Amino acid sequence: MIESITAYSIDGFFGADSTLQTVFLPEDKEITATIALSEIAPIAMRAYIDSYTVRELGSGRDVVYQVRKNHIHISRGRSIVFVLDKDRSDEFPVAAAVAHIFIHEQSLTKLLLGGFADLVADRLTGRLGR
Amino acid sequence: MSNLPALSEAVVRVVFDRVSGNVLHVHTMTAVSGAVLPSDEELNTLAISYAVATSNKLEEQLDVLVIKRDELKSGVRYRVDPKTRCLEPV
Repeated sequence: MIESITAYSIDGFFGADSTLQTVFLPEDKEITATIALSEIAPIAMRAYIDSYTVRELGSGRDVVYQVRKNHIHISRGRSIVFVLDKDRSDEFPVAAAVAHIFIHEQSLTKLLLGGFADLVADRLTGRLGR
Repeated sequence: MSNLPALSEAVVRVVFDRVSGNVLHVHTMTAVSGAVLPSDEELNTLAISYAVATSNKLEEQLDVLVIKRDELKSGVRYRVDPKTRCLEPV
């Protein structure tokens, strides 16, 4: 059972074409992350997990893996990057995206990216968080 | 209520064009409890690298403004005054 989660939101684009959120992770945990667009207005937007970084065993180098997916599972992750892009041809993108990070199968965070976040937060929580 | 560890307070990098002041992207950075947030310089480099990758700009054309999350208001579009390096609504 997933416990209730704390919301962290990024409302709107503030004039930019994309919003990104990098979350730095405890490397000793296994992480599952998901991201999805709002069902309300999934137009003119792309939401995806851009990449994650792992510190390579042995060399100690930080290696960045590009994924461009909406769901991944990683271990020894140092950070993960969520992206919400708007279609530059659309003047009024209104969608939002929500991202979850699960640690040991419990939802740790909900990250809400872009759009009119307050309007869709409850519905998205219902879709992904329960 | 959850007793799970939370995220650290968000720090925000606004990447903008040095000449026009146009905002290219807003990059929020947080750390899960137990993780370490890199140095300010590393965070700036990270923000710039994504802006270069997602725009047609060169690194030399870009600059970074470090702000607190609550300096951005919902529904407001911003630019950065290149001279004063201050956010201003447009």
